[in-house]
Order: sequence, then structure tokens, then C-alpha cells
Amino acid sequence: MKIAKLRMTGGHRAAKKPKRRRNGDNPQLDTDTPIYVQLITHFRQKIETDRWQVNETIPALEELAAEYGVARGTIRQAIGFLQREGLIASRRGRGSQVVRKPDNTIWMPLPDSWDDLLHQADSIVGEVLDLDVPKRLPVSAENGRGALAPNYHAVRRLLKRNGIPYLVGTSYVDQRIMAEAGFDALATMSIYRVLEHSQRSRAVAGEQTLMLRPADAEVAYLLQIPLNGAVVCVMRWVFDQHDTLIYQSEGLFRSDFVHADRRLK
Amino acid sequence: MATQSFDFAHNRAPIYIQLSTIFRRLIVNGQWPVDRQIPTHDALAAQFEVNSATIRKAIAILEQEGLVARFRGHGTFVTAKPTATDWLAIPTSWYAATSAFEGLDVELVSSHPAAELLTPFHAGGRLAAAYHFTRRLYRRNRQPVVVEESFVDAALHRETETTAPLTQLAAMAVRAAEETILFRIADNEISALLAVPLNAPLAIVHQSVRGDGDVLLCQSKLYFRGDVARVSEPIRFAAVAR
Repeated sequence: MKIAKLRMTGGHRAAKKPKRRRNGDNPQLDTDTPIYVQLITHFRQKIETDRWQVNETIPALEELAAEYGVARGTIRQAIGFLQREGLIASRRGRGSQVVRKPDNTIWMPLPDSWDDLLHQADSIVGEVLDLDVPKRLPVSAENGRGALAPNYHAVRRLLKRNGIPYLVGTSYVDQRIMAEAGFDALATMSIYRVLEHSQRSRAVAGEQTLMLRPADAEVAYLLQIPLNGAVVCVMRWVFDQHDTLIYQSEGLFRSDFVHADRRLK
Repeated sequence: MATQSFDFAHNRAPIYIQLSTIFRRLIVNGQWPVDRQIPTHDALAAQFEVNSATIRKAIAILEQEGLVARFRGHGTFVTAKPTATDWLAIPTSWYAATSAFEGLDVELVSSHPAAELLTPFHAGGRLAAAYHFTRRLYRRNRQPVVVEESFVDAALHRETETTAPLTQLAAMAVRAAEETILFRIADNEISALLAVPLNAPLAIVHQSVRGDGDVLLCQSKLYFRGDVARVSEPIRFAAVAR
């Protein structure tokens, strides 16, 4: 099998002559994403997979610039990002060293059962910041299922764990359920609990989708990831016994923060 | 919009590019519905605290994409949503997992006895005596969409190698099967096979299938293109009345 050479497009090719593009299985490299952003992701993966090990001194800027055929400043930008993330430390005159791996111990599972969602929401730890909310319900269920409630109460939040922002979540709850619970209920319990406590509505069915999306500028800023960096978008729709859409949410997670476990059989 | 907590300096991309990504999301989400007028350039300029010329440049990008149109004297209207993707389903049930690649074209990239001892991804169970390794590339409309790497109990290995291992296993005595979905980026080799940029987002699915005596019959690693594949599944509710 031919293995395509790592190649960056769209910017300076300082140290090496441009290589000729082989046809066939070569990757079409991304021309929309800045090179330093592509390098951040690439270097982070090197640390994650131990190709750059903790305590190891990484190659000098000049060497990396030559290896990737980009300007030194581009390498410095990428390494600088990883320094601010705390993965790499520079020591004057002695190069840069890997300090730690990206934190995978704080993984969030993405469950597919109502009970797991309830328990997960109960045990959210870390910081929760309220953001301004959008003014309307974004979309009804994709398959057109169910009827919409007359009004929805919207909440938009940024969640952090260990100081790392990992989720921008927008949720919509049937306003009648919020009125029943009292609008300050969300200060003491999760939205899922509010739904679970409702006497007028009972959550009986739901759907969800998990997909990858590029981060827009606002989400990239909130999650402290590069523009167009991948986020996992989790959409959920929950219906009550009358098939009314009582809850909808859009969760945008840092993609390196989540995983989904499923028992197939 | 949480504009008050938003800083264009976080990214080095030009501000009008950053704004266009935000406006595109508002259209995707339906915050700016199709056939409706979007806020005036002046209102957006005030909201995002930028020059209205910057707003005009951002809107011009969406105009080129055919998402909005300007009507003289009437303002700018949303004309379309970004085209819906024809999603490839990432399986989360046994039935879906055994028929996941139906309708796709398959190419056997490599097939040989596994040289090294298999490291199980999921804990538990016992290993078979030997495994056979295969790597397949699946295409949809000539576009590569999935790379599959499988270790199958060598005793079960058949020469009908174009059939996906889980499809073959569907007819056998399977006791348990589980999977873990991760979201990662493409390395050199996978990006070359899938013809995507290095660092392109991928959904990586690890599957383990166990048979009688808790023996690991098959361990697969599937690399789905992140821009065409997604999970769509029901949320499970307990059957008993709560």
C-alpha cells in the first residue's frame, strides 16, 4: 500500500520544494483550514499515540519546519497552541518537551437510554455557564414525528470540567412543563429531572443523532478549539404520551471528549 | 447569541469568514428560517460590534453559496438550507451491524494471517488460537466512505473475502457483541485510503463479537468518513410504566 506523504497546502513551502502530486490514492489536503490548525491536530495526535512521548524533547522548530515544508512561524503557532493547552512546555535554549497527554480520563459517554441520560445529568460536575439563548425552536424531529408544544423554554449552557470547556448545549423544554416545575427548578435539578417529575407529561419515546461537524467561530471560541475543528453534534428529541415534542437539545461536544458504547447483542 | 462573551481574536481567520460560519449555522439550525428576512446589515453590525462592510462580506459568502439572496429595497432573505447529506448509518444494533455495508462497493485491500498476538479492544473473554486479518475499503457512488480492519478467528476464515465479517457471522452462534464509537482524525494512511484530507474527522467504531465459550470470534475497527456518516438511533425507555 502506498502511504501518502504528509503535505500541507495553501501556505508557505519554505524549506522544501513542492512535491509533485501523485494521482490515485493521495489525499486532497484541506485548503480551507489554516496550516497551523492542521498541524495542531496532527501534533496532538502524535502525543496521544505516543509517537511523541511524555518527557521527550520534540524536534526543534527548524527541523519541523523542514519536515513539513512550512515556515518556522507556522510551526511556532501550532506548538504555541499546544503550550497554552499544557501539553508541551518550552525551556529556553533546551527545546520543547511533552508534558502530558491530552486528558482522556474525563471522557463523557453518550448513552442511548433514558435512565442513563437521567443519571448522567444528575452527576454533572464542574462549571456551568449560562449563555444567551436563541429565540426559536430550531428544528422539529427529522422524520416529522410528533406535534410541537405551543411554546418552549430555552436554555443554552457552556459546561466545563477540570477547567476545560467541553460542551455547548442548547435545550428546549415544553413551556407548560417548566411552568409546572417552576422556572427556578433548573437551579437545583437537571432538565431531564424536570421532565421526569412532570405530572402532565411523561417522556415515553425519543430519538437521537450523533454526527461530526466543523466548529463555527463562536463554538470554536467557547470550546477553545480551532475554527473548523471537529465537534460531535448530539441532537435529541423526546416525546410524551401524546406524541408531543416535549424536549429537544443540540449538544456540541469537543470530539476528543466523548465516546459511545453500545451492546449490539 | 452569546456575542458579549465572544472574541474574534481567538482565531486568526478574517472576521468576515468567522461571521459567515456563524450565519451558516443560524441557517442550518433554522434560527434564520428559509423564506424569511434576516436582520439588517446595520443590526448585525451592531450585534457583533463590527463594521457593516464586514457584515456585507460575510453575507456575500452565503450569497455565493446560494443560501441567501438580496432583493433591492426588501432586504436579504434566506433562500435555502445547505444541502442535506445522504447519511451513511453507523450501526448501533446487531441487525444494522450485520448489514451495515449493503449496497456499498467493496474492495479487499489486504488479507493475510495475523502475525502478532491480537490485543483485545474490549476487556473479557478468551482469544482464539489464531486470527486472519483483512482490510476492506467500501465505496458509495465511487466515493470511499469506510475502511474496515478485521481480525477473524482463523478457524472461521473463508475465501469469500468480499463479504464483511459481521455479515458472515450473522449466521453463526454469536453470544455477545459490543461496540465503542470514538471521534478522531485521519492519519496519513487512512486519509489516503478514504481520499480525505489529513486530519479529516472520522467516526471510529470498535466492534467485538464473542461466540461459544466467550471466544472472541471477530474484532473490527471501522473508519467512517465523518462528513457522511452518523449515528441515528432511538433513545431506549424502560418498558415498564414509570
